Amino acid sequence: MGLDVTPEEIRLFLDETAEKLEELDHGLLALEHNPRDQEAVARVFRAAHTIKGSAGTVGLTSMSELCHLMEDVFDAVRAERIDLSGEEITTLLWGVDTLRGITQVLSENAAAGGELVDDPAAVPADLLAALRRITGAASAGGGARGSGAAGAGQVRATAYGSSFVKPDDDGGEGHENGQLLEVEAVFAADAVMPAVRALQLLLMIEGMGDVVRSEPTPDEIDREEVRDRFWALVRTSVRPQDIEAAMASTPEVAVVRVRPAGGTDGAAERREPVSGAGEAGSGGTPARAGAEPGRAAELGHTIRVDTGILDEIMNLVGELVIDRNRLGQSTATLMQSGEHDELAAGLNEIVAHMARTTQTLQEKIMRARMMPIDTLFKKFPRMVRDLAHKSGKEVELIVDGQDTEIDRSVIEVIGDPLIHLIRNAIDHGIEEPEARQAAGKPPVGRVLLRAEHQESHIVITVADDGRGIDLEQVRRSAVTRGLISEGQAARLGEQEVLDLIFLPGLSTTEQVTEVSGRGVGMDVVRRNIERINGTITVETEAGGGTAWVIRLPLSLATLRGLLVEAAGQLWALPIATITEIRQVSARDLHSVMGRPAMVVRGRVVPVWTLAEAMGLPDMSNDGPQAGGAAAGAGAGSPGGYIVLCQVSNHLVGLAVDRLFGEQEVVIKSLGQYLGEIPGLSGATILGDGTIALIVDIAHLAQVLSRQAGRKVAESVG
Amino acid sequence: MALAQYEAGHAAGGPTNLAGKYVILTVGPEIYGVSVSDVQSIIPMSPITRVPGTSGYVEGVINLRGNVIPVLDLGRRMGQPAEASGERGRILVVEHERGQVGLIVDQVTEVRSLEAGQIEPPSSLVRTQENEFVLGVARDGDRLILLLDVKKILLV
Repeated sequence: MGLDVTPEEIRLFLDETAEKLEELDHGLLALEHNPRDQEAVARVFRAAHTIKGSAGTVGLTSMSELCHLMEDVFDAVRAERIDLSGEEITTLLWGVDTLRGITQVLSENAAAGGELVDDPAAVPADLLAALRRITGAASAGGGARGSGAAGAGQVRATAYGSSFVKPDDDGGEGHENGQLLEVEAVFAADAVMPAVRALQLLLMIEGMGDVVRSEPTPDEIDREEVRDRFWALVRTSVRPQDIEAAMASTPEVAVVRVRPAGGTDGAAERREPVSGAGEAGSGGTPARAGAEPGRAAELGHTIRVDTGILDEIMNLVGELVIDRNRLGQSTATLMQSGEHDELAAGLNEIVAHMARTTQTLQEKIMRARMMPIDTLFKKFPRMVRDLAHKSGKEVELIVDGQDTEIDRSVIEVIGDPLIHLIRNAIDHGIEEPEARQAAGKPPVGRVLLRAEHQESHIVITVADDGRGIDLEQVRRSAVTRGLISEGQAARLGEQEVLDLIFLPGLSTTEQVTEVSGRGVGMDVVRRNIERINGTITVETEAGGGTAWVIRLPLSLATLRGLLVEAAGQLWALPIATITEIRQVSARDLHSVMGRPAMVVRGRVVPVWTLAEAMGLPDMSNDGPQAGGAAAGAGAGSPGGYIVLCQVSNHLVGLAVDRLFGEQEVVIKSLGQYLGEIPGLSGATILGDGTIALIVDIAHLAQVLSRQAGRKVAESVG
Repeated sequence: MALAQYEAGHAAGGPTNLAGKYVILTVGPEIYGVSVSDVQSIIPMSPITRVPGTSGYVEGVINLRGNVIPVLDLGRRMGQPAEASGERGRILVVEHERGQVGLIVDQVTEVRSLEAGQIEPPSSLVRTQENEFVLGVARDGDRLILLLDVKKILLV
């Protein structure tokens, strides 16, 4: 019985399978930790069972067969016929990876418009054999697997409250003495594939007994004439609870009811259960159905939304905000003109209301785009396990704050940097168990992955209790690669040495390990983080461990900026990096090595005009001036301000002509024609239509500070 | 359409397929023609925000109906010496595969239909610096109009 599967259904199948595979990963890792974790067993069984059913329905037989074998193993675990060893877990994970690989290929085919094609070659025979061996060992000691008759060979009930039956194995035999049951399932309100689900249920029930009648009939299912429910009359010796549990595990099924039908074959009317019927005792369990409507309600409250649509909505909201600002501006001008007072007042009220509405709209959309960072974090336990095994180390991953919500676009960017940091922690940070014990540490190394909100930022920490960063080696490496001279290296403080790590071309590993590959370089990691207005810093303790701290803005679409005027135009400086603003006169500036500088709490802080820092000729009202001299003259001009910006250990001062206050600005890209411009993170359109360029202070502060530092170092020798 | 013309023009090796409607404009002492199919709109000069780190002929960005778009000085792009620039009164907005781009010109005088018979291949009439950007030269009365290859001009 085949079905024409639409592209929409293919995508749904692939998405669902991906989710189930993740559940399998999690469940298996939990089982490795505690082989008797019944909840984990139930989860992995359900997941394998679901994939088996869905895959079988769309004709992916090899996939279904693999799942079936995995299901057998899980069944044996649940029946306590076997405790899984580490090696057996690895085999099962191999199974998960194989399924993942198949899904990947199917995904690519589907994206290219192709169909789902079964590929037996994708499932290694060795894997199947290994899985069979596990189950074989289990049943060698245990009883025969359940068949027909209830009781004998039926798996014991577990703490979960019901047992799982493998319908296929109970195919149609020995049911003549069973009872007649009515089974009914109602599909979820937003079910996309009711026909497929009906087919799944039918196949499942057929595997558990003799189906007398079903609605929809097999032909109707084939023609996809399926409404919102599935009903069947079946003679079976399988317990109703087991049938219910199996049906309930089918996706998009909201309500399940199984109850005894009338005493005679086929006589019972569908909608009227014959009361007081012959069969007593183990009748249907409506209590189960009672539990299901809750699930139905739950299902009804969320829907899947294409993230592309959310992105578009976000853009449109950005446009609205700009227009709102412009409207506000025009209205203000009208009010000031003193004419049309009534009109102006009316407009003002409308604008105020619009402002409130767009504000709320913005917040709601941002909320809709937020997802718990767990979607990213949940990949890591598996990765850590694999890495630890490969490098012969023992590592425990501690995850904290996985419910912390973060904008979707930020999640996309932060994934690779985190993978890189965690790999480094395991590969270079954590020592081998013997080395750790020799150093008086527990043999199992710990890696901490934490996310938390701090004011208007997300802070993500990756820390390990390994050997820490060898500052001497970093110094030596930098000298060897010609990045700094020996003399300079000797004079660098700890924070400055740590900063060297972020320079391109610096890697302290002499060998390229298979695990972390060619050090992609912390410079790339930092660049990517800065590109989204974030910062990354590192702390380390020799022999104690290392901690990387990443701070990210909550949203990529807007930012709080300080508007300033410099070089005759407007700029927005991200508030997050500004520590202080000072009004200065020429007296406060000293010339240090040809560059103006000021003293701030005992530190010498170099000062640039914003124009100079950005590389623009100074076109302020004083007329065009050249570089260094301007810094002295312009920065010291009356009414000038110096904005002090700090990024990690770098403190620089930017001289500007005027301040215009703080504002939330919508970040607009400079466009693909101009591409990436160092020092700028974009532009914004202000209320009156003027463009203010958004300064990438994080990048600027470091470049300038390093330049100044180098000059100081160079001049001293 | 312009692309078809461009390809056809190059394939055929001659400017005969360049006939059509052109926006005629002036930059400094030169007269240029841009195919109407290349032009999205013509707007008055607008305040320009300078952007650091860009090529000399990129003047900066402007706000075009809520979008930030880059603007180029067409005279400078065509290799004209800086002193030759005129009053820079108009911006020609053209579509680029990477978004819209504005070309700053002095004046837009008219839209004119040019026929194949008026158009000759670029030759010694055209300064060498400009040559790569010129598809053909049209004789219109006593003036010479250089027909521009917008795609090439926008190549970074």
